[in-house]
Amino acid sequence: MAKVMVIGAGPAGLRAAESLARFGLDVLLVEQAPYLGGALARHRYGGLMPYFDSGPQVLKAMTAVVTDHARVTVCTESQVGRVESTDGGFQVELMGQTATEEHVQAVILATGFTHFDPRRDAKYGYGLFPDVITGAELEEQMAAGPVHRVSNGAIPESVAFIYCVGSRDRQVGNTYCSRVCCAVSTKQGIELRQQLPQARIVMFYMDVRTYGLWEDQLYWRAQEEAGIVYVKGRVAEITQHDGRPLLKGEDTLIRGPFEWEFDLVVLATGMEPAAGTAALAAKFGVEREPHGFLRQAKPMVSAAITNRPGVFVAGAASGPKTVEDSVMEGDVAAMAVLEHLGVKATP
Amino acid sequence: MAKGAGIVERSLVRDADILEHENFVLDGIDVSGRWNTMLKSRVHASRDLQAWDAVRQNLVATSIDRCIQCGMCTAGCTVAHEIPDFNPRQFIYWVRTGRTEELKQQANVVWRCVGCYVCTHHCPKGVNTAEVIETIGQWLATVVPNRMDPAFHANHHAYRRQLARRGRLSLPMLQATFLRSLGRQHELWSPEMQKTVLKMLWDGRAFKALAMGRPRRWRKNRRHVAAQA
Ligand SMILES: Cc1cc2nc3c(=O)[nH]c(=O)nc-3n(C[C@H](O)[C@H](O)[C@H](O)COP(=O)(O)OP(=O)(O)OC[C@H]3O[C@@H](n4cnc5c(N)ncnc54)[C@H](O)[C@@H]3O)c2cc1C
Ligand code: SF4
Ligand code: SF4
Ligand code: SF4
Repeated sequence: MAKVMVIGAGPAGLRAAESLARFGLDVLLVEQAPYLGGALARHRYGGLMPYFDSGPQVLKAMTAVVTDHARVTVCTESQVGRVESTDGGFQVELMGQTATEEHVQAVILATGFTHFDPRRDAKYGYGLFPDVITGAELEEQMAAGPVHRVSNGAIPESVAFIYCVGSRDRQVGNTYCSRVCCAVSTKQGIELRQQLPQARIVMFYMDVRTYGLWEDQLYWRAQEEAGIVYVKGRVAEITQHDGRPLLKGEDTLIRGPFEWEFDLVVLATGMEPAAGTAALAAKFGVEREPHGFLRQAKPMVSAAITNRPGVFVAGAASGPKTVEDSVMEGDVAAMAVLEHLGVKATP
Repeated sequence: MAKGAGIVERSLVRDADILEHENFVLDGIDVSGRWNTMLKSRVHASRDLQAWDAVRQNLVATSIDRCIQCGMCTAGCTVAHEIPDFNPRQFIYWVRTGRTEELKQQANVVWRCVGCYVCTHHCPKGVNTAEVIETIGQWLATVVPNRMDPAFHANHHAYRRQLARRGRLSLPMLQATFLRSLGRQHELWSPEMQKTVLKMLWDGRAFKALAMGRPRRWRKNRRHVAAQA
C-alpha cells in the first residue's frame, strides 16, 4: 500500500494523517517536538475561539486517533534530512530519534507557524517591562491559575490588549494580517472578565477583524456582555511609570495623543512561518510566497497543491489560519494525495 | 498684552490651551514675567470612568455598551446638522473612554437632543442612542448643573419621574415639559412640529419608539429606580 509522509503534527498534520489512515494508506507522521498537537500543545491554549472549546479536550481528541491507529507511525523528535526524488515518490532521510531512510509516494507539509517575537519590536518594551506579556503567555497564565502581574504577583485592575504586534507593519517586515489575533484577544478578554469582574479591559486596535460569524459571537459579545472597551489607535510606545506600563498612542476617533497606564499589557503577537520553513521548502523544491509561507500554487483549485507534484501543504504553513481552517486543510491535503495517487473506491 | 502674545506661530494655539500666571515659581525659580506663559499638554492622560459607570447602569442606557462607533447616529442626527459640536457618537465614546473633561466642557451642548429618534432608528447595533444621549445629559446635570441652560433643569425632574414610573423615557414628553417650562407650549403644535410628527409616523420611528417598551426585569428593578428618583 502507498505510504505518505506528513511533516508537522499540529491540527493540520494530525487531521491529514487521520484521514489518510482511515482511507487505508500508511502514514509516517514526522514531528520535531517531543509531543503532538502543534501550537495547541506548545502554548497550552486553555480555551479556543470562536466556540470556547476547551483546548486540552480538542487536543486530546485530535491526537487520540493518530496514536491509536495501526496505519500511522508517529516519529516525534524527528527531522527531515536529505530528500531525493525517485520514480513515483521521494526517498527521505529521517534524523533524530527516528533515524531511517523512507520511501514515500507523497508528502504533506504541515509545519505551521511560529509566534512573532515581540523583542524584535523594541517600542513595546517586551522583555524589559515584566508586566508586558504576549497573548500566548496570557493563555498559559489563564490555564495555570489566577491571572497576575508578573512584576509583583498582584491581581490586575486594568488590562490592555495591543493588536497587530508584528503584523501589518513594514517596520518589522510583516505586511500581512495574522487573521486570528483580533478574535483570540477578544476571546481572551471575555474569559478574563470571568476572572476579573471589576477590571478595566481595553483593546487598542486599528481595525477589529473578527470577520464572518465572529462579529456577534466575539466582538459584540465582548462589548455587550463583558464590558470591554475598544479604542481605535495603534500604540506607538510603552514606557514605565510608577512601576506600571504606560501606553502612548493616538486615539484616532478623537484626535490627539494619549498616555494611559495599565497594570498588565497583552501583546497580540502575529504569526510567522515556522523556523525551518525555508530549508524544508528548498529540500522539497517547493516555492514560498512573498511573506515566506509555503506557496499554494493553485488556490482556486485546491488549497493543498504546491508547485511540486506529490508535495502538498496544509494549515498555517501556507499563511495565518485558525485551528478550524487548519483542520479543514488537513482533509483537503489528504484528498489531494488520494487524487495524486489515483486511489479509487473499490465496490 | 494680548494672551500668549509672545508665542511664535500664535495662531496655531488655542486660547484655552494657554496658561498665564501673574507670579509663577517653577522648581523654586521665580519665572514671573517673561517666562510666565505655559501651554497645556495636548496629551490626554487623565481618565475618569464615573460617567460610564453611571450611564451603563441606568435602565434606559444599558445599550451604550453595544456601540461600535460606526457614526450612523451622527450622520442622521437632526441636531448635529445644526450644531457642529453635537455628536452623539463622540459623546458615547467620551463616556466609555473616560473623557469626562471634554464631556463637561460640552455640557451645554449635549442636552440639546430633540428626541427625534433618528439615531435609534438607524443604529445597526440596536443602541437606543436617543435615550443614551438623554441619559448622558442627565448625568451632566448632576455633576455640572450650572454649566447647563436653566431650561434644562425642569426637564431633569421630568426625566427622573418618567424613569421611575415607566422604566423608560418618552422624549416627546420631555420635549413638551421643556417647552412648557419656557412658556413656549404653543410651539408644540407649530407647523415644524407637525411635520416632524408626520415624518416619524411615516418612517416608522414613532412606532418603534413606542414598541421598545419597558426594560427587561422592570418589575424587579422598579422599586430600586423609584428610590433613586
Ligand atoms: C496566541 C494564539 C492563540 C490562538 N488561539 C486560537 C484559537 O483560540 N482558535 C483557533 O482556531 N486558532 C487559534 N490560533 C491559531 C492556531 O494556533 C493555528 O491555526 C494552528 O495551530 C495551526 O495549525 P497547524 O497544524 O497548521 O500548525 P502548528 O500548530 O504550528 O503545528 C505545526 C507543527 O509542525 C511542527 N514542525 C514545524 N516545522 C517542522 C519541521 N521542519 N519538522 C518537523 N516538524 C515540524 C511543529 O513543531 C508543530 O508541532 C491561535 C494562534 C495564536 C498565535
Ligand atoms: S487579526 Fe487583528 S490583531 Fe491580528 S493582525 Fe489582523 S487586524 Fe491585527
Ligand atoms: S449608530 Fe449606534 S453603533 Fe453607530 S455610533 Fe451611533 S450608537 Fe454607536
Ligand atoms: S434623538 Fe437626539 S441624538 Fe438622536 S438623532 Fe434626534 S436629535 Fe440627534
